[in-house]
Amino acid sequence: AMFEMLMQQNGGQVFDDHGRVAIDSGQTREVMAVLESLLTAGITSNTAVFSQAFYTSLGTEEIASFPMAAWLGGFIKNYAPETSGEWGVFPLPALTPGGLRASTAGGSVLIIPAQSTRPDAAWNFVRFMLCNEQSQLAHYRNSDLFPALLTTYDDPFFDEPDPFYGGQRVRRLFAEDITRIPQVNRTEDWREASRYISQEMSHWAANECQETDAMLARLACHLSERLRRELAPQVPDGTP
Amino acid sequence: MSAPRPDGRRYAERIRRNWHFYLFISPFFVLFTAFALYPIVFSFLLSFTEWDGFVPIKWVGLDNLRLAAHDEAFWNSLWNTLVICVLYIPPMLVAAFLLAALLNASWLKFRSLYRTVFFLPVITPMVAIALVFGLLYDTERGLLNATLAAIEEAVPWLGLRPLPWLTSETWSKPSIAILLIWRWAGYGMVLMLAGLQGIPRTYYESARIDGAGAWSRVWHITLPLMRPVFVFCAITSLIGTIYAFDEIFMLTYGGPGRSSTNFGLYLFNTSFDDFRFGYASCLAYGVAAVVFVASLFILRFRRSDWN
Repeated sequence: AMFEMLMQQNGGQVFDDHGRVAIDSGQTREVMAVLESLLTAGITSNTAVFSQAFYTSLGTEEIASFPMAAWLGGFIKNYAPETSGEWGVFPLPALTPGGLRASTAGGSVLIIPAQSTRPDAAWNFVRFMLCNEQSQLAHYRNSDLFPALLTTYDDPFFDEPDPFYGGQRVRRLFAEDITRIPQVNRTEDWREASRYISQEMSHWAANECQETDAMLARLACHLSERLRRELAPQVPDGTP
Repeated sequence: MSAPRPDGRRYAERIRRNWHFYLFISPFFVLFTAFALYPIVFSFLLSFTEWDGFVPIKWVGLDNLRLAAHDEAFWNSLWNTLVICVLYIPPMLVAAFLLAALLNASWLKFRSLYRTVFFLPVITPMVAIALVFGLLYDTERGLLNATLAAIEEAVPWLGLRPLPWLTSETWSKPSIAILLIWRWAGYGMVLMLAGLQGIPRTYYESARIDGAGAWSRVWHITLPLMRPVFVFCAITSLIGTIYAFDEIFMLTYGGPGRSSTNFGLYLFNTSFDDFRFGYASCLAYGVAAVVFVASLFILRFRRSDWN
């Protein structure tokens, strides 16, 4: 998850605009260098993310900060309510001086199968849930799910201080940052792709971050082979 | 020639006359057809197709088999399964046998209490077990590593050190094997206890009269007579490990890398992450065929051995 987040922040993509595998790029290599320095500096916790141990650690003093999307707040509030008032939010550190300080992680989709007998009703439901300011604000208010509907950001709710974050106006911060996030290409085989990515990444991390370039090349080949997608042409390093 | 067969009309007549009996036995057949026969036949047909669950099914013949032959992740999952089997089955059999022998000892008190305690892991839901083991194995906050760290501090020359149980590719398979041993030793124990109690006392008596020592009695009477039980436990554990899913899904999700992905988890990933139902059916049938033939072979071998 952290890899994806940094990669998007750095302008990288897993798949380019034509659906070709573009993960083996200069942007990704820069991200891997950042990850390697984090892992080897001994400042990271060796805990599987979203495991029971991870949730427990949210309430302890072992985790000082955790880079994650806006929806993580709901998890912290749920698993470590006693830490209320002790958390705060700041924009992601930039990879390069003056670089972008926002990214995304996660996201859900609603689909209507072609076989649906009531596609109109399904579409109306999607519109009700996602394209309706009232529903979106209710999501945010009750479940801490940050709305994707841009028109909700004018609501005064966004300017209310959140006591969980010591009175910080985090909602406005998220709403301002969201416009800066680069567009991310997603494909219908994203779930499969993201499994191959996390397998390679965990293999890499478990083996002291060795042979990063070879790992990325192997991952790109694997993705292209398994998902029957072309490899994107290589861009020489250093060009954005 | 055999006796003349009753023709269709007579059958229909009989069914009509005894319809309530057929009604009584029908639940099994209805459930079996809906939940066993239909999926078995359907997935067999699927194994020759390409299908993601939504688009129309596409017939591809034996392409899936060809794909499997070159699927490195598939062979890797079989290799992982084999390694977990080797790490898990022999120690589990030894533990089960020792527990059974202990429970069979005439001097033991509270026998049924022990039997219940050792059998408890078998009936505990796997998800609950895996959650607890996940906490025990945790690299930084786990009880196991806390214990190891305490021992390291107390007796440094032992060389015991906290281990990355679930976060290293070396330790992920042993960690799963340990959980499997803990879980299934009690089940093996029950089978072995039955086996031990089936050995007639008289064998031991006559051996003792002939001057055989305790070790010699175990080696020449108990172990040879227990062989069928050992083989049965080993085969069922082998099959169990091939299709093991929940413990690995909960504990490591097959990682780090693919180091603990066994066949069961790979099958799950292929069908429910990747929606390659045709390919997954083909893999399932291929492995099931190998297991079936191997079991037949072992049983055949055993039978000639008994005769």
